[in-house]
Amino acid sequence: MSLSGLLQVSRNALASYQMAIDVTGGNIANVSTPGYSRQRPVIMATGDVQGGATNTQMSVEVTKVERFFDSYLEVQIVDQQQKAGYSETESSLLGRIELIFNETKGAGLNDVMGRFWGAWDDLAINPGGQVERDALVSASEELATRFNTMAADLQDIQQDANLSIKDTVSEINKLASNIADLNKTISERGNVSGESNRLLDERSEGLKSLSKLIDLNYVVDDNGALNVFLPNGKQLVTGNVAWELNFRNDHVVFGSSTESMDQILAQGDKGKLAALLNVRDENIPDYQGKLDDLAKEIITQVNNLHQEGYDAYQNTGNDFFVPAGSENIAKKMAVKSEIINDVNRIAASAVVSSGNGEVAQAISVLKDQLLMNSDSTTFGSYYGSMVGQIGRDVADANSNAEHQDTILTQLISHRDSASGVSVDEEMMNILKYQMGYNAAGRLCQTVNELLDTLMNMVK
Amino acid sequence: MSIRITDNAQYSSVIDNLFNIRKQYQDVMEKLASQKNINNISDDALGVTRVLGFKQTNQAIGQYQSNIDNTNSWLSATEGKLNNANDLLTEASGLAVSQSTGTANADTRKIAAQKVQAIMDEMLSLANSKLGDRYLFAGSRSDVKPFESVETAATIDEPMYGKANAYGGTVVKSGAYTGTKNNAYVLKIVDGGLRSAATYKISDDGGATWGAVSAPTDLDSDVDLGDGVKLTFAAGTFAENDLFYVNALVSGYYKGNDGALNVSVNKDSSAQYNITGEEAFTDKGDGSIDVFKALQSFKDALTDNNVDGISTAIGDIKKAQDQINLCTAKCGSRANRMEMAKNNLSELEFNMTSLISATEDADLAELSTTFSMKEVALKAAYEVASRISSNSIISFLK
Repeated sequence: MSLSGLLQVSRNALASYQMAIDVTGGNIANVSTPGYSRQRPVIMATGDVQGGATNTQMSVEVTKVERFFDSYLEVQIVDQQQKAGYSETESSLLGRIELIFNETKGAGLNDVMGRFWGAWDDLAINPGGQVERDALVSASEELATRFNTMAADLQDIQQDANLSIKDTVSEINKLASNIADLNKTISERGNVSGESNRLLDERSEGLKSLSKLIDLNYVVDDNGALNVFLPNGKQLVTGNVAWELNFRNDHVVFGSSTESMDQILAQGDKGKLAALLNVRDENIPDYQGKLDDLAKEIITQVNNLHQEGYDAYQNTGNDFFVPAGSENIAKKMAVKSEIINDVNRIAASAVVSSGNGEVAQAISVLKDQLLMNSDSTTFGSYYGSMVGQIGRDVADANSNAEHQDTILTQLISHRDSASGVSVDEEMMNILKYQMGYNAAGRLCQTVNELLDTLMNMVK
Repeated sequence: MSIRITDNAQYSSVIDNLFNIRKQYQDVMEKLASQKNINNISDDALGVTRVLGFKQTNQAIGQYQSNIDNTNSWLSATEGKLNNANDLLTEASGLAVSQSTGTANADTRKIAAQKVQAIMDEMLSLANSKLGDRYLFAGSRSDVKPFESVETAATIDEPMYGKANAYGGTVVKSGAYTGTKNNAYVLKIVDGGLRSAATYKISDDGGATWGAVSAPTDLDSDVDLGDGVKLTFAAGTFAENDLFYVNALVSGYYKGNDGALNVSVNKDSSAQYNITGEEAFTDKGDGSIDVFKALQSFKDALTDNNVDGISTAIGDIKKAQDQINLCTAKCGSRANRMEMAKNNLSELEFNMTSLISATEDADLAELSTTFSMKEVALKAAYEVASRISSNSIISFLK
């Protein structure tokens, strides 16, 4: 053991504690960085003590900077991110659909339908009345317009979902290629000491962002590369290579393939993309189909009766609504222009004498007839249960979103508990390291004094 | 090891809690402002479906009520006119009685005949009464003046066409009407084409029900619409739904028909609200007496100083009064039916309104209490949030 050796010890100690304070400082600086995993210098004793005066002494060094990271928790968070991403998107899209069907404030389709049937009743009482005829035409036009706007609004949301899918696909590609890049750097550096910690954090943040968007599985291979797979086993990221998803003809496809992956991606109810696909391909077509069915049945039934009736000019066999086509029925619903231009074309009478209003009455009675759902419900209750179904879908999506979010919050707080930075803790660590640093400095001083003493001895 | 509470976790949990409480506070505020428990269909999907059903029922009830209100004025106008008719007949009956006695002579009877003419004119005008622009006693031909001042023989009116007919040729009617009531006969083209190719079907009830479809070439010869009514078509081209119709009238004063006017008064239930001129004033009525004919023969008897005729008139006028009174009674019972239907509807409406209210209306007392609670919670959350940074080891390190 030599005094210069002691100086070496104090130098090592000073350097180690300085590094420790460095790392702690880094932690404090990143106290609110999302996804940051706190780091800890691993301080270890080096050297040996053996008997005898010439042996080496103990010293200290920072062997590595450790990253607090629970990979099992990470698996759960990634999985939960997928579910939360799905339900959040679903809930926000369905929330927009809910507004179209919001009947709670009155003045919805329900009211308009009621006015439509009522107008026929009014006409039945006074079949020749121009006022009643005008009122009927305007109530019918309002009904048709309401169907038109509701169908168009649904289509708008479908279009938006479609655009969102496109954006999401390109975001997925960006994140996947980021992960591939990070894989490359991490594998090159090797996951030793603390140097890759920041990159690992960044990659794990990237993975979490990606898992919000799409259903995926992942595995970290021996080289430290993160490989990402799609639910059908296709690789999205392998080592430093990222494959691309593409959006072609309104379908998500893998690379240059033309085969649509929509169904595979939508299956697991995981990730934003699945929610967008489901709302675009399942919910909205379902609601549109119901709205179309309702419009179609109203158009057909009213026309059938109207054809039997006689207008004020004793014409018969004419339609009231433009007959329903095969698609976009609700969107295209319209009163025939002949009738809009001349209200006397409304066929209210069941016989050629125009004081009779039996056809108008028969049309108004349609509201009580079981004509929907294979003749088991009325128009009104069909619409009522349709609104109820949408309400339930939205409520389910909302409570699901809330539930998934709560779980995610809990998981993240668990993660925070392991990996997050506590300023209190870091301050205490600084105190500790500062103490060590000070002590090491004092050691240096002491050795210096010892050397002085030694020098003075030989003077 | 104790749980590490990190700064990030602390901040985000405070923010989460703030959001939660704000959301609950907002929900209660919305309910308070709208005074409704259901503000979005997702708040209570089942409730919304039920409320929509109730509202549909309520809307229909409102319509039935307005239907009934509309018929009320019709019924009371009809009743008033029938009462006037009864009064006129009483006056005629008085004249008949006084002119059948020995004190009356040809001169007094001439004067009385003048009075009867006045009664007839009055009777005609009230039988032709309108409500709005519709004749009360015309049956379903309520756009046609139902009574003429002179008796006419059975006639077949000129053929009429649908305005949109494609056929432009002339149609000639022929035949003598043998039917027993005023009626409209309708011919509708089923398959269009040249006269020799076109087919048609015929209705003898104004176009409500149809007979079988004819064979082609049937139009080439005269078409018998029934009860002696015939139409002859000039050559031409027909289109589907081309329509031709003929009004045929039996002899008498009446030009209306026996069409009932119905109105929906409840779900699956409709009620007639008109009295036709046929049942009130013609011999198709329950008393089998034609009011105008009776008055006319009374007047003729007076003019001719025919005492036997005057005695017959006393009986006829009595029968006419009975017939009119029966119609008044029908009117009354129809009005009663409407009144009862309306009362039922009001009761149903009240029930529906309470059901709607019970499902969607908010309990204000409960909401206000909840609101205060949420307000306290929100304030507490703000208080906590404001202190979050003040507690740290840093404050104690000098």
